[in-house]
Amino acid sequence: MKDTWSVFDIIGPVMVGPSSSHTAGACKIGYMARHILGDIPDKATIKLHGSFGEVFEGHCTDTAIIGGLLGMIPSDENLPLAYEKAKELGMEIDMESVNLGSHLHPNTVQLTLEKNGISHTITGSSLGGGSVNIIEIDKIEILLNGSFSSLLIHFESDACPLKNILELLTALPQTLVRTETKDNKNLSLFHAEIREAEIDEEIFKKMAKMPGVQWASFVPHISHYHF
Amino acid sequence: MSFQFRSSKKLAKLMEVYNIPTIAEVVLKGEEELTGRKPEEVRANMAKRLQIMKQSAILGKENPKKSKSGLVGGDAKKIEEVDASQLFLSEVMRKAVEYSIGVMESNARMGKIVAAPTAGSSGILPGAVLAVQECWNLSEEKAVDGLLTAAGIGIVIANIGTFSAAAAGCQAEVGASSAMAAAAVSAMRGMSAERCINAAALALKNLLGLACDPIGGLVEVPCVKRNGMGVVHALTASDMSFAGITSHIPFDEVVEAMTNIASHMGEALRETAKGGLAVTPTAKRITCQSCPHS
Repeated sequence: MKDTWSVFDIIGPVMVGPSSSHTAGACKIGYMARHILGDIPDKATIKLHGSFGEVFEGHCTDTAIIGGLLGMIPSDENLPLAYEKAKELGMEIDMESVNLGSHLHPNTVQLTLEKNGISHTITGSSLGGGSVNIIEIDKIEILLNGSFSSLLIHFESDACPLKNILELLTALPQTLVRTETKDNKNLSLFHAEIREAEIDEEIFKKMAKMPGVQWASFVPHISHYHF
Repeated sequence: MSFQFRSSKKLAKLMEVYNIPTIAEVVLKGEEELTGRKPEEVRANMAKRLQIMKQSAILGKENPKKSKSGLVGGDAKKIEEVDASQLFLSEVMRKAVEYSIGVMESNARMGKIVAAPTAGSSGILPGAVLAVQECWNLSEEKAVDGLLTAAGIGIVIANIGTFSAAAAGCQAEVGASSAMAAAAVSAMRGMSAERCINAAALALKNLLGLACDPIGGLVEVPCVKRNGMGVVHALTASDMSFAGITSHIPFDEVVEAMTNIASHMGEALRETAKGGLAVTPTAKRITCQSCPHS
């Protein structure tokens, strides 16, 4: 659980019903996952765990996740139409209720998203009141809570582009909140939290093209001032 | 110097040390520190949310359509049209129930609402704040003060406890929002911060242990009516605190008790629709009729 809360985490989110954890939180996880992938997926495998798996239908959890994958935010009044929109785009959807393990929060979903041969498996939990955590990306433990925007760079540890990335980052006008780097065998995932909802596209491209970088994503936060 | 607080004890301490007169002002300072947003911006945003709350209360009441399951709709209208002279409730309480149920009826139709703190408990805070503002002829600024005070109480619950019914049952939703609403209306009528926090303690204490047992897993039964009752509960807690009745257990410890109870609560009572009201014969019959896939 995070240790700082905005007043709008408490009096909010502004959202379409019926459930903050099972609808708004689910939409937010889908939205963040879509941005980690970098595009709307062609194929989504959705594994619902715990209470998510038990009562998803009545809470429209499935619709909300798909809306998020399409780039909709929880206050989007088109959210109820997400299934139809996904169908129009030809998105292939696989959904099942599973047990991912008792150590996980009861409202957890694991998404495997594919687009043009690129695939990521992303696990997220909905903590209540619309707050969420993305806790794992491709088996690497991580913590994205969506309060801030996230820059993610996955690279070969040996190539060590970190110094150059940080140089580019600190030159940006955006406020850097926190950084973390997670290692998994010979690969590393760098995560920087940024206060603003945008990043200079040229600089982002430069980072993504650095030697040793496998993929890079920018996950914009859903501003409390946009609804 | 930091204006972040994890407990109501720390909140009270900040007010004392920096000589800040209200919970709302501490909350605004904390928000500016955390997000860089000026108090005017935060207030304007909160005022916009107040308007969405009002719209959802009215749309919920005026829309004659039932929710998809057919279980929800039309109750806010009933409490609006009833002969008020025959009720035990005062006018402000009657109005609070009407607004509270109205918001929840919007929510059940996938309408736009403000979670406060959750969607399943989104009726209580608007119900209390809007009814008191209207019946007592208070300014929008006062209503925003109420919402900021509620946020302060909510921040404490979020830090010590949770808003997740899947983790702690309905006490974490209707209980939490009732505590927040009790503090909000207490602030709106000018009660001291200490009495606002005390009102929150009284409200939450009496809803400890509340199970989350929605029939068919829908945010409908008993959620909508629990919001209607929860708002009266909040106003009663504020009145008791106004009269000088104090909670022997301080607010922070009441929240700790909520977490303790959650640790003893089986999964069946935590938003899985596998216990309580959800497994009564009537609920099972309704579930078969209204949502054949679940």
